[in-house]
Amino acid sequence: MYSRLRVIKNYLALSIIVVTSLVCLIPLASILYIALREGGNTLLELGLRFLIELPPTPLSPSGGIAPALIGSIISSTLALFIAVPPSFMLAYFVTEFPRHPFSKVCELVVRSFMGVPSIVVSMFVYYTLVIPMGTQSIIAGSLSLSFVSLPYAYVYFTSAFRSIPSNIREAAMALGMSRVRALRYVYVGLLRRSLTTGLLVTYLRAFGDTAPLLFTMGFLTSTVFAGLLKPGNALPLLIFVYALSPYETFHRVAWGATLVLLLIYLALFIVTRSLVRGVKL
Amino acid sequence: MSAYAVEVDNLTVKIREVIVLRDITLRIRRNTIFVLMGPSGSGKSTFLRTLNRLIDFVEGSEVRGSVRVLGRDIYEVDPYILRSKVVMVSQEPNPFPHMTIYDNVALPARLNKVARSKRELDGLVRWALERVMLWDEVKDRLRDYPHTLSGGQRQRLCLARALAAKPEILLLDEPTANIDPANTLRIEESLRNLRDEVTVIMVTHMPHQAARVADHVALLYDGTIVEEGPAREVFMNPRNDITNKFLRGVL
Repeated sequence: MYSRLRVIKNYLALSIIVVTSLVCLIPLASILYIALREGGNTLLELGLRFLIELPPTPLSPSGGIAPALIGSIISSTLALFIAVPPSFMLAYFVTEFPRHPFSKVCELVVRSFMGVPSIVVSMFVYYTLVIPMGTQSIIAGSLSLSFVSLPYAYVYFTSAFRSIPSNIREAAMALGMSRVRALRYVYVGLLRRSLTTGLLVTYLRAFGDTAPLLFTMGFLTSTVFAGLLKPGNALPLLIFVYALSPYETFHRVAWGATLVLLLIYLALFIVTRSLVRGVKL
Repeated sequence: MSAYAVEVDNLTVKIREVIVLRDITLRIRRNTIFVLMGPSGSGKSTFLRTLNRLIDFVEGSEVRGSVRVLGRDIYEVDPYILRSKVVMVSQEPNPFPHMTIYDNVALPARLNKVARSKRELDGLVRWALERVMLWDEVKDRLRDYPHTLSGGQRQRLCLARALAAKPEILLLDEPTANIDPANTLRIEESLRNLRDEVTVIMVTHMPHQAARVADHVALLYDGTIVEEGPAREVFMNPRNDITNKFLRGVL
């Protein structure tokens, strides 16, 4: 039998764990609650129209978020395509050859790049791409997002590759596989869950970031999609601009867009996590 | 074609300046079971890893001397080609956990282009699993994953995977160290049946296991070969005092 003091200590420790867990959940739950309370009405009122209509004019009663939704999907997907291949290859090289001078430089540069404010990246792309092109564009926005997302993808991929058990590495090598073959036939399958999570986090990072788009994306409201080399729009950008505007209609649209953004986040996360099964070792 | 699968001359291996193998000269005939015995830490695994150049991955390793495998110097052959012909099975069972039992065995065959059609591949998978006496136990669940197998079955799966690569030399690093006696006996019986198809080089610290399976044995002690010869001769009439002690279990 446990002593009375031991039982009390156990309950005390358990209570502290439960309370701190609840405290951690409060911000998340509050965000979801406020987004539902403020944006739920707009979504319920307009339904699917909210997603496919153009944004409202200041005095119109309602409007949708179509250009922002399409712009977000396109720019984040493009950012993913730009950021993932180099970060994946770099991560693999660095984990396979950790003592190579190039690996050390990569580690230092890419990880320190994580700390660069995204507004600075936006300014950089504005200076190097937007000014020469003469216009803000979805491509410029995507590039800006990819710069911001690349270190996150890199960090996820390196931690995934570092988690490969040494006996599995040895098994692949002992069968005569080259590093590329081992990656293709063994590691990718083995790490499918963590690699997919890395992809998802990179995508969501790009999907939800505002600052990289401020000087690069433009703010398209007149049509859903004008072309990759023309200005576009994005959900976080629309939320930022409309939340600061003086019009009530814009505020409602901003809250609706916030809820949509949150729901997309949750849906993508849950679906991916449940679809991609982990590997039992 | 050389009569020897492995010819080692004056091999010395250092790892971070520590001499692990010292001036080893050894010949291993083709299609025999050669067992390298020795107490833990004597350099047995390092010897195996030198033969297929897995030693290259060990930081600070330095190999001196000549190692010829299948008639060619190992440093003149592409290491990946070398390892596809000189396949190693580790002490710890390490099947690929995300692949089915079938795919685990089929993968090296696919990569080495051993089978050219699905039918041929199916036949090869069956052959490899039969060779390690695992077919009857898994034939109805080839699509299951290795975590559903026992430790001994997993080790036999690794052996089947190695065989499916159709190697010329099979390196076994204490393959029965972590498994039960029944599975140990099955693996030993599989090895005896493989003699005609492949050269087996096994390391073990258990002399009685070497006595059961080996054609030729050598005793490695403190990085040096102290005695080698036909298994029967070495076990019946050891010439070296260290061998004598090792065989009697007092080393």
